[in-house]
Amino acid sequence: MRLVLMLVLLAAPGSAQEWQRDGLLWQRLPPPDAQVEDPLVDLPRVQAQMAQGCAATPVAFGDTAGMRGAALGDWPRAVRRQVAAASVTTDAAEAAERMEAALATPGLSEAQQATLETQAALIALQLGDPRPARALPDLPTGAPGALRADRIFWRTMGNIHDQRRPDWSAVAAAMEAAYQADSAAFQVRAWRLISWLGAPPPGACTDRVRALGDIALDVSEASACPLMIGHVSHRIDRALTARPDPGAPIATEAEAWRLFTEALLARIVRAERVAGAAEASLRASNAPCRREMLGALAQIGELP
Amino acid sequence: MEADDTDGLGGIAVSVAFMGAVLMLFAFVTFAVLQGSEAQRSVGQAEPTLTAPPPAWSELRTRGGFALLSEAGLTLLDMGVWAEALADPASAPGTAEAYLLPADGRGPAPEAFSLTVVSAAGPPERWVAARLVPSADAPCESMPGLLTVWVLEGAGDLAPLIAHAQACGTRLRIEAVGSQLRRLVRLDARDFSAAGMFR
Repeated sequence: MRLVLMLVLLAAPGSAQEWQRDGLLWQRLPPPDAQVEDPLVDLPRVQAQMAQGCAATPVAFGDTAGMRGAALGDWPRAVRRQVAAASVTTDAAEAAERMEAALATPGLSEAQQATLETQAALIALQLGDPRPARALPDLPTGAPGALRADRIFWRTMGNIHDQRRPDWSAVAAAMEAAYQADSAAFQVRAWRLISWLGAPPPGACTDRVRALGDIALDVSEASACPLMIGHVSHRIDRALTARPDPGAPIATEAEAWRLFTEALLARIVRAERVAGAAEASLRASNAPCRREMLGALAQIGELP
Repeated sequence: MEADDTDGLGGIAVSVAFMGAVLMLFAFVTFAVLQGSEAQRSVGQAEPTLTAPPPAWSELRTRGGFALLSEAGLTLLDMGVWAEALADPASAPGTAEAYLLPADGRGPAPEAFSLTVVSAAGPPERWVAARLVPSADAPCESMPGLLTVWVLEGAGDLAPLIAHAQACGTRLRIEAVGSQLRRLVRLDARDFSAAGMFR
């Protein structure tokens, strides 16, 4: 009789509840959520990325159309030399003069002129002056997509250059337009994710999880590599000037989405400890779309 | 006789208990002292680690400067001289011992270039933007946000340089170059490959 009683006492706490150790304390986790049936993220795509790992992809990391390999024709030697010199000097006035000299070279095509104008604004931005980038006009629809995307991207970066709290919905709209123009540019994909997380758009939970999942998968498609995901996570934290502490309770809805993204990307690169920590924080929170987020993560976790 | 034996055993029990109590006390006292003590540095580390450049992908490439560290101090190089050499290779300044060897870039990006920097002895006076003796309270005007420092043989301790950079908010990239400098600086599409960026 006594033996039976002891067995019941020993077995009871472990049976229905899940326990998590935090230092010396054990905490009881809330019961697991009901399974979500429909796939909330593109599971075949997740599987393909897990298999692809660190292999190279068509997504390009260059900061300009030229560095991403866009066909821009032959450059006159004088132009190359002036632009290279402008890319090295630390004097903003000298860089601007050299870019003007390059632009004045006869025989440049329209695409080449547009490239140099964007390049001049980018160099000014690198040297701390966002004004030329802010003044960049849009290119006509017939211009190459990579050039149009660069225009939109660097104008947006100029606009938010010294803002601590940018207008995230405006940034998101600009990044969407840039993505439509050139979907192979990594910087556009990364900033599409950052701007979504900056101001999560309203809508039904399943739609939002699907939309954010697609945008995050666009980023990890570039290279589903732990190191790359680490860099991008760091950049997201810097752009949003806040990092939710994996152990601390989630304070805002935006933090919950941030942690969901972190868990999703971590699961793709099989960083299970990171994914588990973010998932545990989500589970302990009362974020509005918690059930759908956890459902999506569980579906990825079940993949072979 | 029997009573004496019992007394003896009682004395042993008391002394063992006393020793036990002293040992317990000792353990607690040691624990309390260790809790409050300063963290130990490792034997090989002269200075505690300060900020390391964050491993970060960033859409905006950080423009930085280059410098040489020798026993004479830190020599910051004038990027304007490099720009001149790239814009007009024929007039690139130099001597047989120290010269800049620019090469036009190739490929679709007009900003691509490569530049070989060679300096057998010290850099010529024309290349120099500033000379500093690094220390935590040295001036910051000429220090860029990102500085690549080529460390020549016999340059000595790096700690003052790190303290200087820390005080000025400069991120350092430090490279040992041996007794003379010969380095290729380049910008091209390879720098934007995944392997080139995410290190």
